[in-house]
Amino acid sequence: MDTSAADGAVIELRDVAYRLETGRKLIAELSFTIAHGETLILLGRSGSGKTTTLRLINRMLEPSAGEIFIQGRRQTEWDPIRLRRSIGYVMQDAGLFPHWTVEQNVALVPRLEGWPEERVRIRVQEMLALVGLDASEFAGRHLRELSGGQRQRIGVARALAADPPILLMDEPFGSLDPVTRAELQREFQTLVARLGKSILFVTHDVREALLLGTRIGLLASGRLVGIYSSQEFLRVSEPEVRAFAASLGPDTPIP
Amino acid sequence: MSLWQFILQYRAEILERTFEHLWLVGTAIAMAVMVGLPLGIALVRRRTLRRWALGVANVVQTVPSLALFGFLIPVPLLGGIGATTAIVALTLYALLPILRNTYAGLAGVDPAVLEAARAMGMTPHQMLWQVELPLSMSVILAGVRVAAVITIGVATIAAAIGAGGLGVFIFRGVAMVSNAVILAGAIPAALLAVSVDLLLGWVERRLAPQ
Repeated sequence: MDTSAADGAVIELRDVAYRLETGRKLIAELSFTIAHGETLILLGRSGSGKTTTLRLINRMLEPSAGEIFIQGRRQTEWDPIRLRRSIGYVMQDAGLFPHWTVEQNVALVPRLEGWPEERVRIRVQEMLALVGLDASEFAGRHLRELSGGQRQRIGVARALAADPPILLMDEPFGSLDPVTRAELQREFQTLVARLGKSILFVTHDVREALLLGTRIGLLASGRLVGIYSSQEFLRVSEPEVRAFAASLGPDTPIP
Repeated sequence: MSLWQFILQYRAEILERTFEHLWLVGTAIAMAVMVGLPLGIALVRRRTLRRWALGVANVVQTVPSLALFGFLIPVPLLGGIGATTAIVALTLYALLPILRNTYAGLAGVDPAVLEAARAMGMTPHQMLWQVELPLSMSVILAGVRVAAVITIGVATIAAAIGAGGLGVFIFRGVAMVSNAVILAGAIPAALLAVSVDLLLGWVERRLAPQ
């Protein structure tokens, strides 16, 4: 049996389990790979283990069993700090630092990495432009002066600032109003095509999953029901998949 | 002798006692911060230590101040007659509010912000200095402010063990049955408390997270 990572896989999970100290299993026998430049959607109800999976990948949690490979290296061989700095992380409520300006928030990882100030400054401008915000207008602003959509854009800019090859996204558009959400989803699609990052994107919104994913993995009670392409997803007869497909409603055009 | 006559006649001594008082309080607060801040940070991480430390600090606060000064007199090194004993006692008094607010401030930082900081690859040390302390600074400072106001009041009793300060006038006034002399100590002490409260309140607002 080979013990190294599968060829070309940027993220690989092998029979990963995560158990709480109380013995309750949050994740069981979870295996999947994400190829270079691919966006894998992890779809599931609340409490199905989506966020736990993300936190296992950037080693905020240690798996109780199984192995995780990141960029071909066993996760345990990585220094956790180095590992996290090479994985961008976007959260639902952005998790921006309220005592810092937009510029400081976006520059977080480059500054931690000790980039020269001049390069940091240029990078922040690039990142703000990338997420559609005018640097001259926004760089010096405080968070209270921003809308939910703008905060989320800055969350994305912060995650991408040090150019990590991997991006983990935890329901990044979940708390936005429908119009802003649709706007950000569209922009995100263009961004993904341009940047070629390997992305694990967590959501409970099947519409979003169909719109953004190369493949969709369905998680239920900590187990992977299956991984499907968007077309397959609407055809399979698996009950949990049907339940999600049904949530689209009968008259909804498929994106 | 009226209050005004007394103040005029003894203005040099009143000024000297005020500085003495400030020195007692300032030193005690500085020491309480040096002990309370690191201890408060440790309490966030350790639950058992938290119960013990906050419990002990609570008990110390309930000891009547005059008794606390008295208890310390026979203690070697820390005790005896004079300023050292007073500063030790005042430090113990100032400790609880600083400890409690340091803990409360740090425990109150938004968990989403901490999650993000950790996920972005900040070390625990960087999280503490760049995120946790700045975000709880106004709460910690509110504790220092309460501690300072309490200590300015309690420090008047330090005169009973020969540590000087504005309490000297109060004890003298009580012995002389002279309101004027008592007020010559009490008014500056009250003014001191009010000004320190206003000053630290202003700093606290400046530091409040946006």
